[in-house]
Amino acid sequence: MTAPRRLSWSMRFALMISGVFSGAAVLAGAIAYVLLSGELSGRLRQDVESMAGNLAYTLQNGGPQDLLEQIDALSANARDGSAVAAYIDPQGQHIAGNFSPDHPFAGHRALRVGRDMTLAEMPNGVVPTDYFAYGLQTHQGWIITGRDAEWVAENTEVLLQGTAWGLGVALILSIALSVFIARRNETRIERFEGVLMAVGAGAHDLRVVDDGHDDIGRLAGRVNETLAQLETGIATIRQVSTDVAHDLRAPLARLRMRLEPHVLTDQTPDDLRDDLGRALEDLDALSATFDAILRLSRMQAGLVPLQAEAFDLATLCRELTEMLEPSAEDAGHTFTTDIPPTAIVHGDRDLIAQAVLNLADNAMRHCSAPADIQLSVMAGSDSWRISVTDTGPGIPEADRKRATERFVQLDASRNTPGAGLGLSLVTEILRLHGSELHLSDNSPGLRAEFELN
Amino acid sequence: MIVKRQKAATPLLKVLRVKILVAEDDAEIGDYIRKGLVAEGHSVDHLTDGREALTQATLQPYDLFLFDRMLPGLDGLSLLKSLRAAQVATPAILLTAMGAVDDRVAGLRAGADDYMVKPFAFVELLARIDTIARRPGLRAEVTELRQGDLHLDLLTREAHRAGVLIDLQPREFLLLKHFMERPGRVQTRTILLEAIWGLHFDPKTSVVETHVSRLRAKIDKPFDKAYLTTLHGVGYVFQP
Repeated sequence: MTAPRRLSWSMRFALMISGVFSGAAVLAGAIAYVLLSGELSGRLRQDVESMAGNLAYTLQNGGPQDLLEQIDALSANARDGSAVAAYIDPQGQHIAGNFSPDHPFAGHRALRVGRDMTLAEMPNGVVPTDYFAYGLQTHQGWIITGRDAEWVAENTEVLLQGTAWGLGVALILSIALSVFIARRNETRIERFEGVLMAVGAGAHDLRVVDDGHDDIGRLAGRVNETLAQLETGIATIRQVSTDVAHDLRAPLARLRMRLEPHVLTDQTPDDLRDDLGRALEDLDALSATFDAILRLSRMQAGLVPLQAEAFDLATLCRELTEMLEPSAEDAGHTFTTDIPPTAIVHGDRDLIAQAVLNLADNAMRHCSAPADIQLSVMAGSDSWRISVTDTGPGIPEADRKRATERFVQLDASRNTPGAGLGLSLVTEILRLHGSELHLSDNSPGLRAEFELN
Repeated sequence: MIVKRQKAATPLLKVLRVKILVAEDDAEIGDYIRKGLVAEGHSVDHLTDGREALTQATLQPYDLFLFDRMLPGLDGLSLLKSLRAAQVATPAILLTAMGAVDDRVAGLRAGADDYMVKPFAFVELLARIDTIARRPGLRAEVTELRQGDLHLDLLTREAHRAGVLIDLQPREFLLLKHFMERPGRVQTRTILLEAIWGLHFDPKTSVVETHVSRLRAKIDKPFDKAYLTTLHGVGYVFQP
């Protein structure tokens, strides 16, 4: 009957926002990483290029001796191997420097220790493994410089860690905040739900208590205004239905009282007596239909209090069967039951009896004999399922919803008596019990069922 | 109102003459009720105002109250509540032109013994008065009912007519017993639904018609004289 409870819209929204936020954060981090590492690598490349340029200038203007001095100075300054330089003569002989590439080259190149180059002994032991290198070829030989590439990785790692921490905290905060807001909205919306259900069940004077100065608060105001209008409307229906009932029933009562004595006395000629009797029958049918309409309106307006109690549905259905069986038999139908020994439910016994009788009566009325009509009570997971099935013409799927509306008589049944109130009365009775009527195909025929717990 | 005015009566049939206070503001309806009840041998005081009825009910002893729910001065429900609060235990029937079944509960809670919705069959009012007027009583010693050549044993639940055993289903037995206890008294569909099936609403099914016709097929059809008669628009009557 009730769908499994899904996450509320606010909660789903909160989680979705958090998801989008974390996705965006990761993307931003990735972009920063790419940009930063690109920028740092670029700088490093510029650096090695200008280092090589300086050394080449020294070689050109000061001669090899000056170059060697400068390379030694550089090596001494970068004892951790963060910067390296080498001078190779035109014959490819390594002349000086704290590293030696396997092959001299010109231009930018990424070098790995062991694979592409050999590093001189470093005094403090920690040795870089990757270098950005630049080679310059002059007519006096090659000048090759390099810088530790790990510097880029280290810097970007710092960036990544910083980003991760910042984002993590922000993410946790954002999830916590959105879940908090969602819970708060849920609570407020549940309050709406509770009030609306209670009003539907007859507590017409209940209002939503919510003084928030936001959209939900405004909604509460609107809902309360509507509820107030509804309450006025219901009070009007109550008054009008009472007035109309009185105005209609009083003349009917007088009419009946005038006619009835003539039906009961021998002095009235037999044929007239018969006519008068049938007039009384019509009068009773008229007032019964009127009662049914009035009752339905009052039920829909929530004016019929539920006399709910625990009772045995199985006993009730057996009693009803005892009533229905002879009528069904006389109409040429077969009436069978499938009822457990006991089935305790909570509800208004009279109203439920009426609902079951209406469904059975409907089946008998709309099926041409012989039809099989069955009344069953079956155990559900935590409720009892009552069904009335027949093998008659059934109701086309498109018309099933309409069939439960007031005054609707589907075309196929227009020549049978009944004001089309039966199924709508059942629907209303079940609504009062928090249940609903399901019409489905019994192939062939109609299956009408509902649950009670 | 007895059809054909049969005077021959078993002790069960003996209708008690009761003193009835009617409070009904619709003059014509009240007049019909008064005339009908007087014709039945009851004595009737008819008032049209709730307050007057309250005074009258406390001044004189009555056997039965018949109050309309809508009355000028004091409505029927409040009138009854006031009387019950004043320890007046006289049986009461409420008449209403307002709601239907739903108001029945409110009426019974206020201390009414029965409840009727207008328009009602006058014979139904009589049947209800019968029930209330002989509520404590008589019945305990009765073990069999006999009307003409029809005999119903209340212990074995067997019926015989002219010596022929008639097999009765449980509800048919209850129905026959109900009729035989009230010979000559018209029984409406509503009365039978309440008495035999305990239903306080119209089930829309032909349950009464079906059972009466089955009962008739058993006790009347094979014989010359029919005991059970249908009065269209009114109900059924067992005519010994």
